[in-house]
Amino acid sequence: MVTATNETPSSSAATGQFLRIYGFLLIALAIECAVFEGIARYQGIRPFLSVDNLILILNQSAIYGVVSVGMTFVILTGGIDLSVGSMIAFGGVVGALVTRAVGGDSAWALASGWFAAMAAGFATGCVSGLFITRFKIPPFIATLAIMSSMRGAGYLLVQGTPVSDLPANYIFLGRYTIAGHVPVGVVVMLIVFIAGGILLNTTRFGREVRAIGGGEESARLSGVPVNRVKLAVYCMSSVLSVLGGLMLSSKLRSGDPTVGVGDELQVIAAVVMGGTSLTGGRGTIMGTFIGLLIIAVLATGLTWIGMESFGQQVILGVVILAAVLLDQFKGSS
Amino acid sequence: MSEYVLEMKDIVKRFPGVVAVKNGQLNLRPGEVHCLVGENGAGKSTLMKILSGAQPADSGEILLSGESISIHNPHHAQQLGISMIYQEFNLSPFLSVAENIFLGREPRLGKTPFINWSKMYQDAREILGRIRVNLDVRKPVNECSVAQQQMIEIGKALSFNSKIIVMDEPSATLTDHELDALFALIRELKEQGIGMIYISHRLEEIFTIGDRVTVMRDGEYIATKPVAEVTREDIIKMMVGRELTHEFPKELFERGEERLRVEGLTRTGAFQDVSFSLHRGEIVGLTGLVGAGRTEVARAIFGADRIDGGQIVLDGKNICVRSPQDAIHHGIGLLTEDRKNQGLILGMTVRENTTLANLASLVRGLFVNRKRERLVTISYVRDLQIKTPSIEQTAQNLSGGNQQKVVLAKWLFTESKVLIFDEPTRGIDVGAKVEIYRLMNDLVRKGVCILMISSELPEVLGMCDRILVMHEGHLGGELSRDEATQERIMQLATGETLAAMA
Repeated sequence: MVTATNETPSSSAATGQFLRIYGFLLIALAIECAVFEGIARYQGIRPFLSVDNLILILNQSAIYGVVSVGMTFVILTGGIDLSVGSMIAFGGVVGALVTRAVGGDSAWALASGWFAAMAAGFATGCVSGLFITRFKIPPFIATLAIMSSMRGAGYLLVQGTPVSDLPANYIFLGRYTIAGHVPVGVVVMLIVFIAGGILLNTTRFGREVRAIGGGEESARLSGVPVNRVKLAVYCMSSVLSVLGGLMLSSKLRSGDPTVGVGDELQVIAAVVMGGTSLTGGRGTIMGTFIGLLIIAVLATGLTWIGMESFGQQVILGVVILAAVLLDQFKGSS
Repeated sequence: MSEYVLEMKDIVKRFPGVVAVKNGQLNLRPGEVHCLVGENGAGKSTLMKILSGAQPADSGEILLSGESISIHNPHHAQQLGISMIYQEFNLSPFLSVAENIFLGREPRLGKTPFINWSKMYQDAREILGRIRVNLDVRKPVNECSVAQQQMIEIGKALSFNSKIIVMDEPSATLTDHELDALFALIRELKEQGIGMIYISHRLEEIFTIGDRVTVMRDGEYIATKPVAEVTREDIIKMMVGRELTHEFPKELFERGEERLRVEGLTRTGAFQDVSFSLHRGEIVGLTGLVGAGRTEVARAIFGADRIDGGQIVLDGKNICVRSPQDAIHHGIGLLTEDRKNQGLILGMTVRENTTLANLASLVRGLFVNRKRERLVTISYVRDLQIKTPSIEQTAQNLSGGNQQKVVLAKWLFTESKVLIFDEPTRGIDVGAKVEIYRLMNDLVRKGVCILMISSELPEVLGMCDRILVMHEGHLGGELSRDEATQERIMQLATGETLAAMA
């Protein structure tokens, strides 16, 4: 076997590969849906599987979805970003404050708010990234510190009171729908996922992200600009968290500094569920998307069949452990 | 009662694909300093790991004071009175001297779980007193000097009532003054009847402190001699005396113009004032014993480590290399010794590894041109005869030889002018070795110049046009292909000067 094959993978081979990578996750998702559908029918309530419900599930996972794309990149480099929950709150606060300050019910005010929030997110990501790359602070510690500071900064900006009196168009990201059915948030999430997938799979940057996670020293000695790439992923994660925050504050029509507490764990759960290795190097955007859906279906389904939220948390924990355990068995075999 | 406190007989240890120790023999008298010498990879460390219980022997016998024993693990070895002092100390930096000496065996207050501190401090003082070391036993270890830490290790060994102490390169990190203190301590231990196995690359130390010397080569026992009956040259001969049976596919090319020159390269603590040049058409060997600074020089030229002084000149121009990116940009490549952690991304495919160092050349607009990437990889897989089921195979599933070829493909794709090979054939089977040598010939023919770091003297002698020998961070000397012999290289590597040899 000296030569390697030259042909472009045929479509059936590509499908086979897709199933080999994601088959396990898709089966888990399918079983989950089937179980809820079965219980719903047994209880004689409305069927669980419907187009409306699907859109509901997607809409509820839109914010976590946007944030989890950034988190996937961070974790692929072998890092972690604990500050995303605080950045969701901070982004919403900045967006709301600036929108209100510019004033009027114009698109201009809204765009200013978005831009200011994103810029703040970018700057914060740079700070995390600089501490991690320049000063070699472990990502866990650096982003834990940023998480605390930015949570506090959100409160300080509004003196603890949520920003209200926002213009009517402020709810564009959170409550508008396209063609009467598809929420804007879902479209935003899908765009972010697709862009993230393209970035990871087809660009030099994506390749370098995976190379760093797979072996940082090898990557450095192959000329990969390790620090620059790492800085970029933390900026990306921070900016996407702010985007998630804008979507949430739009949904609430308020810039509330108290939201998003603990969201980092939900987001990490989705990424890990999707098969991304916490040690870096291995993982996909598609996996994160399916992982996100598994968690969202679980939450919606449990509510659907009438389970209260404390029980849901217990079950979510069990499912995360089971998924990671199965993934490890798969990896070792 | 046996004459020997320790006898190791016919020890054999195999690792997958290699026999590390073929017939290890060693015996030790009480109160004796027994030196164990051999080149890198001669099997000294493996033999000592077996003695310390870190690895089981495949066959052979170990006798302790005449009794046959088996050593299950390092803890067991300590209980048997065998202590190891490695180059890397096993001390807990934030604990005190006394706490380290009695770690896990702290004296208690009666039967309570509480530590009897005063007794512990007193016992520690007493033990250090036995070896005439004056040290505050309450001091945290990280505030002690390296030499003091070594003394603490020895004190710890004594606290186990060790009859046998193995010292692996104890002098490597000591100053001359500290070394004198160590020798005084060793003499003290001799008086107390403790047998010591002393491993060192510095042959002069054998004559200062050793009673007998055992030489190993390629995993085999060569000889044991009283130090008084041998000369330095005898030892070197025994160390390198293998026959040069390997056929090397060396091709000689005309020596062209100078390509790379380094002048006065210095990295504090690693190497000083290293100057040499590489010319078109030649392979230059860089050899020396482990720790001589060879890899460090390579890493510095490649920008992986910062340099504290000196210049790098490429094709007549001074270049500034601050990072591997700079080096790659200038056309310098480094094939690291540690392929798994520094050469390859094991979880990535052959294709991704091949193109990693020069992805920029495959980028069209925003995207990596996958089709061209595949074609490039396939051409390297074909040219280098990389045995892989497909270019999408992950690198970890390839054999050592094929992994090395993938690393080589990566550097070929960067179109490097200067390639540094660090132990290019380590852990590679014979067939693949010859293939790597042939590929080096091809590269030289194309005008690439090669710096080859290697501990394997036959390989250095077989493939290099000139040989640079390092000794303790300095360039000890340079030998041409015609004048180089294993003995002369080893003499330079152990610190003799060219003048002294003539």
